[in-house]
Amino acid sequence: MNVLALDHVVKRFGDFTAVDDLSFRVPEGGIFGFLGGNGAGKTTSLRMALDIIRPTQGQITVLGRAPGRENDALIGFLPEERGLYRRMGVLDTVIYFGRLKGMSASAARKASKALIDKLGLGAWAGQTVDRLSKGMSQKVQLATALVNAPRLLILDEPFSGLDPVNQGVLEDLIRESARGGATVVFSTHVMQHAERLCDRLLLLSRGKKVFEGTLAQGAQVLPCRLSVTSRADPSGLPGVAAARASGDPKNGWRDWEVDLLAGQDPADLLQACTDGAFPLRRFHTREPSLHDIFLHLVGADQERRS
Amino acid sequence: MRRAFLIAAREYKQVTSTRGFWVLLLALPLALGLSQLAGRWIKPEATAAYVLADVSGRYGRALEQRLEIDHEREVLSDLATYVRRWARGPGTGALWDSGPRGFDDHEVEAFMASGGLAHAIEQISPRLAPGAPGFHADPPEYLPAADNPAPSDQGPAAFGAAVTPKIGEKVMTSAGPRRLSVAIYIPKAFGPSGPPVRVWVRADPDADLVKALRTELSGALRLEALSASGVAPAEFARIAAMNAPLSITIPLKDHTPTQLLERSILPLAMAYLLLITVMTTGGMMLQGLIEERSNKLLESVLACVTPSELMYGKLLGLGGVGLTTVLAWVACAAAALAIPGEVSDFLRPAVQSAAHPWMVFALIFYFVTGYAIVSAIYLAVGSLCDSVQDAQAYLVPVVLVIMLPVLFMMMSVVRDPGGALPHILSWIPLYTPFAMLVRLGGGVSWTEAVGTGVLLLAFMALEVVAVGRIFQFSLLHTGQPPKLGALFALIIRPGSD
Repeated sequence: MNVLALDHVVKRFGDFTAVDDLSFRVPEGGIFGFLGGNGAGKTTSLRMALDIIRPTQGQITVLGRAPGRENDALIGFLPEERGLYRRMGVLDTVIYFGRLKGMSASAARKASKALIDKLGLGAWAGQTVDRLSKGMSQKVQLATALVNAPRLLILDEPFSGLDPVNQGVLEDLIRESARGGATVVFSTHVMQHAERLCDRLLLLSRGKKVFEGTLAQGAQVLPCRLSVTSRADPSGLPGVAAARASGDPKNGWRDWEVDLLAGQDPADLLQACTDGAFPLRRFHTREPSLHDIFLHLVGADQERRS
Repeated sequence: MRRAFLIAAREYKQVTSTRGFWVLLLALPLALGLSQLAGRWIKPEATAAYVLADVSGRYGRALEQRLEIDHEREVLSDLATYVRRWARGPGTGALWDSGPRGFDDHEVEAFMASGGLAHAIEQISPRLAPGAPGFHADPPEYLPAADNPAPSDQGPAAFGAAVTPKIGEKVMTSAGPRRLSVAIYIPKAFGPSGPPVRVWVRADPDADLVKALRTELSGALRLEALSASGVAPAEFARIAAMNAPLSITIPLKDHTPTQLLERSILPLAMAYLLLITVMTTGGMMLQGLIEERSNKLLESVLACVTPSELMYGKLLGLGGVGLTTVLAWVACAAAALAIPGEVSDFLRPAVQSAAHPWMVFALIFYFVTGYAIVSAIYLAVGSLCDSVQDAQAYLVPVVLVIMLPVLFMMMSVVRDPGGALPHILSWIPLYTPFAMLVRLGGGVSWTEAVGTGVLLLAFMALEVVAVGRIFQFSLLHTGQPPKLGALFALIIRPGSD
């Protein structure tokens, strides 16, 4: 079952098209990354899924039905721009959001207390939010998203503004939520987080989808790169798109950066070298990073559009 | 609606936990309490003492009687007003049953001879309506000093020199120590061609006192002159006692000006309270909304509630704050009623004259609708602005448009209850609650009440829709607030973003 599905969704603000014919599906379970640069349409798409704004065209399905307040009890949301009621107590704040999501007073109180303790804020439960540090406030905000033990947890740029320690804490919480059965959808433009966390990815550029799939599938759209050390120039070998020498030759051996043709398997090149007695001292395959994939796909898309 | 109530409860808690709210809540009861205390403990002295040195030995007694009669005239007149307001059943033909009017000296003397106020109260008490306040006569304006503090046998200059330092000091009277305000010296040879009566006063001379002196002394001089011309004193007394027959009729209407004033006190007070509370709490709510916008809170909230629920919640919360304020003030007024004093004397007839189910319903209806209409405007402004500075640009014209006509109307209705302005404003929904409140005391026709009420409710419904559209558009909108034209376009065509 898909917990979130968008079909040919378009959102326009006046003359500006923020989301352009976007279709994708988020299957239940796991962590889904929503990647794109600034203005790619990530936040707009998430807001539409939450029924904060409505699409101009297209259809959205969340947990099997149209976006609406009926889904609130099953969704947790952490917005990109975060804030809390400064004069409200920490515990009261979490309870309040739990109640807004349809929890009973006692259930909201119980869950809020447990969550606050788990986040290490137990000693601050009775304090007003304006007395907390920024990091602690972020944790309270996260607690408001998690209080209802959501089936679908939507996090919009969750790592922005967090120091490396708290980023680690948040990564753990996301993994824990996913292990607990929640489907986590989070948007980010920091590739390292997505690389570490996501099972599936969606890359957006200027409101359009440029890629959807796993990291391994993403790697396939990028030509493989190799580092080899050989006596001869490898650019003439079958499947090689280009080879650039790096550094000076040593005792007849030289390092080369080799780009394979798209879809070319590095194992085939190794086989060809062996069969053709092409001398090699080093043959190292470099898997493309998400950053490389992103730059390749989004950069190419932007180049195409410009 | 459950979420709207949750939002309302949070808004209510937020506003009522601010210092500003408690200042607002306590300001009126504190003022009432201080007035009550001031009335009881620091009330200015109503009675002054005077010294009369009648060296002639001919006019002093008459002057004292004149001042006494003038005081009793005031008492009789006030008593007649009281009887008309509170006595029930057929009148007895007594002077106080004939309504307040200019009683002549003979009538006042008859009143005094029949036992005065004490006798009258005995007669009136069985006829008083339930809950009628007791009658309290004002004390006499002047009482003679028990002892003359200056010698009167050494001429006016010596008397003046001796009495001048005493003016303003407390001297003993029959009612206890009172401040000496007037000293009068009647020389031995006082007459048309003799030396004048000398008067020393503490401040500007009291016109009533001067008039009493002049009337009494002139009458005595005339009597002496006529006696010298051969007119018998008895004949002069008969002629002097003649009064032009004067019949005063007060047309029977639903209410006298006094009753009209009493009936208008509560509605007028309600209109003022509405204006004060809605402007104050509206400002608090506006700040709360701006805080939500500037603190980037709204997206979190809007992921759980619809903009309409948020709007209704805020309106309900603010309504609760307003209602709490009014209930607190009503409780304080009830407490003030139970404590005898100036405030309870002032409030009791007003409360009694407004104690009618329709009046109570009308007071609540117009207060609640007025509150909702103005609050919704504040809410719309708050949803459009990221800062208090932005909000000021919108609020200044809004406040002026609401306040100026309302304040002007309130002032004009006191002078002219049937004036055109309150009638016109009654039909403009933004002002209907205020106009109807200020007019309630004077009576409003059923057709007008229903007509303006329907118009008011229709306007409220449209306003809620319009504010809802502004809310929907502006809550997550960033940058400069839209211009007025764009705002109207947004209200008319909600999808125009």
